[in-house]
Amino acid sequence: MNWHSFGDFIAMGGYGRYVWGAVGVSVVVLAIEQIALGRRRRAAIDAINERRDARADDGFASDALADDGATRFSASAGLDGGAA
Amino acid sequence: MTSTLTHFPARGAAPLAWKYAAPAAFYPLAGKLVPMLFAAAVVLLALGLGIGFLVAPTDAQQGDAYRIIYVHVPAAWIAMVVYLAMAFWGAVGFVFGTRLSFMLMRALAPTGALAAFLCLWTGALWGRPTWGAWWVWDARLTSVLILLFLYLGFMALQSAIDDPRRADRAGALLALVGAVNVPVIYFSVQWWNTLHQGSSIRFGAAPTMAPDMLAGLLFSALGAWAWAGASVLRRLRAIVLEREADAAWVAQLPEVTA
Repeated sequence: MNWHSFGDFIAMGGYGRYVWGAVGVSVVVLAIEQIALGRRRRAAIDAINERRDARADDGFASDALADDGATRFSASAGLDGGAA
Repeated sequence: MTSTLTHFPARGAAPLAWKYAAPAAFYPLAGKLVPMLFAAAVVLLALGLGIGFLVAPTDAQQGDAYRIIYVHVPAAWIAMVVYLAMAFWGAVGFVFGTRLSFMLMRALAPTGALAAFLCLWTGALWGRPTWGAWWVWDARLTSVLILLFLYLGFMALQSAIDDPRRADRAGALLALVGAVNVPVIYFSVQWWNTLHQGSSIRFGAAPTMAPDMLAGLLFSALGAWAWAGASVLRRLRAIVLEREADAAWVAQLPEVTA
């Protein structure tokens, strides 16, 4: 063990703000990624359910919705968060 | 959009890889892998960061500032290898026309971009106390900055093209061309006289680190890999739901019918 006390550990030999700045931002960024992934999944499931309900309401509208579907979901590519 | 691969009968003779090339087969498999990977990540990161921050000795030259290595190097490895994986799956999609390969290519990009950003961020915080500069236009740093821009360019291209099939092909091309940058990053510290230090761990040579430092770094890296894998698979599952929204198997998923 290198550290004599908790304060010693936080100080990181005088480099505390650099070391914890690196660790802290990494933790925050990775947490945001997970939140965005959850939202993107939720948005995808909501969109599927909305389309199914729309189809159930009016059987004739189903074809128009299905045709639109191929491009409708492509806009959310790349970045997470999707249609949320 | 219907699947072409699911029309093949799933015979025992068919290689496993082809079976799981169908989104309908891979989606539940990925769902099982995600919690396992997260569990592995938590254990490995606790071990790696525990050794790195509590057990490993202080560096003789850099003091405790060197401990940034336990975040910086795993992020750097992930940023480079994820880009190569993206280019690989783009190439597979080009050759075989498999939709899942393109979806995987897309799923990899944001995780790789975040890793590249964290590599640069932690590098700046390491550079300031050890070099006296947050940033220098050194070959290693510049090539990693280019890597970040390649990721961001890939993601911008994907969202700019409406037709998903065209976006897939354009993205695969960009990923393949940009892959040239990855060996440049890796060898930059050998080819050019860089301020960035050389590799402490290289293929075909003994590592030049204290054993505790090395153990901390390797466990941290393995944990970060498991975390990145879980994130990519979570994103892949969301992309499958977005793209296969009209497929019958999607409508029957418990999370959709619930």
